[in-house]
Amino acid sequence: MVTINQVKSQPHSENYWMNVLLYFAAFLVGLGLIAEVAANWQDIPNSVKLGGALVLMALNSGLIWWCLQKEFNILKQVLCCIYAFLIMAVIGLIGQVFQLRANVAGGCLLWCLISWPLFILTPRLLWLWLPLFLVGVHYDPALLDGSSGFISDVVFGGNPLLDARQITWVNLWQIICLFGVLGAYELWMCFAKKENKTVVRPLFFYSCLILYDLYVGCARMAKWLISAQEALAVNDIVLRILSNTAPYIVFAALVYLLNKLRHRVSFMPLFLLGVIGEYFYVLLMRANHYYADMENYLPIVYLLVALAYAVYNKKKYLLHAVGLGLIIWFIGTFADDILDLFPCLLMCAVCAFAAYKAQSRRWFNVAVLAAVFRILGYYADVEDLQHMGLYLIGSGVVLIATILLLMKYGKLLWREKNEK
Amino acid sequence: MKNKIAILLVLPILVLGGYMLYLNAMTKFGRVEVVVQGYDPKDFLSGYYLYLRPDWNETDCTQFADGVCPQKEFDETFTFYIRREHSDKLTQQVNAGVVKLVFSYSPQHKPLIVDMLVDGKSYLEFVRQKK
Repeated sequence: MVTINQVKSQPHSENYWMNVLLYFAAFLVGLGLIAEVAANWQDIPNSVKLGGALVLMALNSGLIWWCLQKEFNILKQVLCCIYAFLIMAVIGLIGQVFQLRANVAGGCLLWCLISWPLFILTPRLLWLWLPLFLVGVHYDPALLDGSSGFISDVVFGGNPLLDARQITWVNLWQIICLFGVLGAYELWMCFAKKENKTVVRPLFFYSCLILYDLYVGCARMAKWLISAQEALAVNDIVLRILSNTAPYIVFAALVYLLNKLRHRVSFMPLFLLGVIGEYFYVLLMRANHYYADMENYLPIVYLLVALAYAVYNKKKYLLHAVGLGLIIWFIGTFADDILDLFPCLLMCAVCAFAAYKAQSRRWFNVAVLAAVFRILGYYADVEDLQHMGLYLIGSGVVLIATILLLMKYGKLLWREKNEK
Repeated sequence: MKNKIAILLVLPILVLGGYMLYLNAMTKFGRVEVVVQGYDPKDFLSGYYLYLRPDWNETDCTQFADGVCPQKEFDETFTFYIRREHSDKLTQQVNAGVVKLVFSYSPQHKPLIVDMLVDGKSYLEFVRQKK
């Protein structure tokens, strides 16, 4: 892996961060599509819903093809991201139409199996693929309570009652998947040549893990996945945490040492922190009923610890990843008070003006986008799932339009200023 | 190269289309009715659904071969997706014990839900009448 100094010498361009935001906008559109499916329009015949979904997919892939021909690279990547979410939405639709069991982990794994071709067109979809793969493997019902899940459905033909031998095989498969992906990646990092640019990718990989952990901390669906509500004794909690995290600790220590020997950066300690934090979270959820507070506060505690770790060890890229996590947390906990909105917009306007005066194009863009985010956040308080879907799609489109406008007309604006 | 990319783009459509056809074929087996009990949680990813548990004591087992209910071939719980505004009415009916799930069933195949009956009528008919 590259050293910190090498990483520092490769700052990302402004367009890179704009592209990251474009992905986020595509994520909102995708989430909106899922919410629309979840709204369950019973008045529309099933055949029309399913046929419409396939037509939408064909339309989307046609647009990607068109972008490839015209070499519209950014738009192609955004469309690929939307396509990935569309696949997820169609999986949800199939589950709804055919009344399949609500198995989030299974849905994630099926999506991972189907959507891999999109990587060839947009390798950055790894950001989405990895967290969902980890959720899929980690939360398959067989691992949680021994009941059948997606993996056992595929391997054992949908037999709802698994015997001990079958459960062992399913668990083994899950461990191989989880540790196989992590291990292969870390080992690849360890032995890759320093001039190989792809060794920087682990930074993306571990950023994925941070976001994944944040997702686990925030996701309400975790509540439904845990059926046991009985209170646990403290020593029982400690024992369970140790027994669950022991393989991670051994594995992380091995990889960390290997990286140390080869003078390379390892983010294993951070990952470990995330895994342990997650187990604390799950077990505390079992032990008490303070769900709402836990959902908000545990991720922020974890992110702040990660922030301290990044600052102390001067890990610049990790700092960016944690910063992104903090922004997501901040947006996720937006209050819908209009009295907060106007001061925020005023602040953004002042910042944008100051950035313009100071000739800082990056901060000008940040100020404009912060204002857009804040306005979108104000309208986020929609209870109805159908309207929430429309809101998310609308927000995604507004963001995409804003970013594309900033990228296109920003050039003219700053060129004029430089000429003056 | 371009042809390969086109194939990659079409692949998800083919897989999901095939999956739809497979599930559609699975709904063509013989129908069996199973009495259910349950409650109503919420799931963002899949919309609203009833969470149901088969009640084998109340189910008519004569509709199966040898008059024996094949409990092991059915899951312990099932989900049935509904619209949010219908959840209260349908939950009441489930609690009243008048709800049955209709399955497409054939031995050695995973049973697939094809309808939900409320007082012997399809639930869609029931919610339309209650409007």
